[in-house]
Amino acid sequence: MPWFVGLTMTPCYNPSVQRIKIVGNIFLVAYLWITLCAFLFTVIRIPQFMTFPRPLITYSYGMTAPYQSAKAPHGDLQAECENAAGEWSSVDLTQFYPQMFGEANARRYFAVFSYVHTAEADEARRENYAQALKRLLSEQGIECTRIRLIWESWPVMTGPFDALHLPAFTTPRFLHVTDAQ
Amino acid sequence: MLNNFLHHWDQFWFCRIPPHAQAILRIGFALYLLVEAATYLPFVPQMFSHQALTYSDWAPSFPSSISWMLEPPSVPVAWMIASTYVLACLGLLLGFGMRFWLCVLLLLNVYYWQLSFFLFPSSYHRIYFVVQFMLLLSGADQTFSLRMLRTHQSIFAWEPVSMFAQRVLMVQITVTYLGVGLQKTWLPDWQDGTALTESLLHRWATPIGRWVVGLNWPFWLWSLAVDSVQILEFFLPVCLWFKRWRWLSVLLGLLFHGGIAILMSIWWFLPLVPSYILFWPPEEVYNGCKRLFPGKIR
Repeated sequence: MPWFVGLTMTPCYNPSVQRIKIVGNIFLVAYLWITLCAFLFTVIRIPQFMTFPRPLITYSYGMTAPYQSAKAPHGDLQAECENAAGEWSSVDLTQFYPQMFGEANARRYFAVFSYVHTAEADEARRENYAQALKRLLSEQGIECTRIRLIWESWPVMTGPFDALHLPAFTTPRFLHVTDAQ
Repeated sequence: MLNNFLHHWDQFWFCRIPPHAQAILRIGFALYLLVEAATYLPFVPQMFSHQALTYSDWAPSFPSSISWMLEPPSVPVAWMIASTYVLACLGLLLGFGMRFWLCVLLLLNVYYWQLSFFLFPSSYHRIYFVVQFMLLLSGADQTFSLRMLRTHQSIFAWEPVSMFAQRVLMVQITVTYLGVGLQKTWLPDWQDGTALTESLLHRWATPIGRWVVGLNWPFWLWSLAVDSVQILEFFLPVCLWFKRWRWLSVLLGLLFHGGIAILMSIWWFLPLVPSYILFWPPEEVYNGCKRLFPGKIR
């Protein structure tokens, strides 16, 4: 029987129990390593701790380091549909978001901004999202030759979230337009 | 000395204990999953079917023989999958085929992640996935379960289980709180009251949160509140490990997570508070259950 499995105390010498404990110890060492790396990366932010196995450490880091910033600006996603005549009209996205406001707004944010924050990932997200929107609108009988996505942001203030979502205070940021089809 | 270390290692991670704390976690967690599912069930077609404004994040990476399963399904299929999820939660709650239903839950969590929740990434989803995985390795169905009713003719019957899963979850809860607290010592937004005031104004803020900010307290008071949160997030998990301070941790946890739920409508972390029961010595939980159900538990 392997010496490292911790046989010194447990009175049960059932071989199947010992086999389970071998697997348990291997799992445990791997878990502790991953958690330690994620914890140190969270607390000290030294990239070397984001080591092997990186996907699992990244996952563990996600459990260890939530809510790093509240700087999700006051903003929301706008989508526009271009018809065959070349006219753009705004699409009511709220019809597709039955969730509570915070989750709905977060979902619209993450529909166009990936959490890995790379240009490629953001662009892929926007294209997939726009194509899904185009398909849904088509099922409603609204044919769009192109879809464009715009992120609108406005200043933070006390009072309702969208109190300053007014033309004078709103800054539109053009994000994406699909190819004409 | 090595033997001594191995002895303590073995005792710490693998000792045999009464299963009551794990069973209570199983029941509480299953109830939470049912409540969370209930918030999404009215919107199954709008969120998880081809009528939803979503797409499969993983389908393009798989061959078409698999990818069709990952794409948004038709409405009836979406309802069938959602019903299976609820059934799995009930199986977990009742402790009937627990491991089978946990495997189903884990698979469905992965499925729903790539279909919908990748657009709503959250720490609690990750934490609860790990909780489900550890319950799979636990003896949480060794009491208060239909399994015990079937095998021992009483749901109160119990068999000793390994401490392993419970200990791992204790470590994970500790590390999560410590990580969240310690990172705030250097994160730029948490050096004063900025993050807190903005938190109570952004998308998650409730009317109560906005009203509190509207009281226009001096900024140093907000900075003090941030310092208090940092201290709380450090001491809460530390106190959980000490008998004398455990109830204080429960109080701090209730204040902290309850406050977040009331001020910011983020209620998904509330189940962490009942999970503190894992930190109580299993024998104490067992004795507490015996007092609660006199004559039922041997």
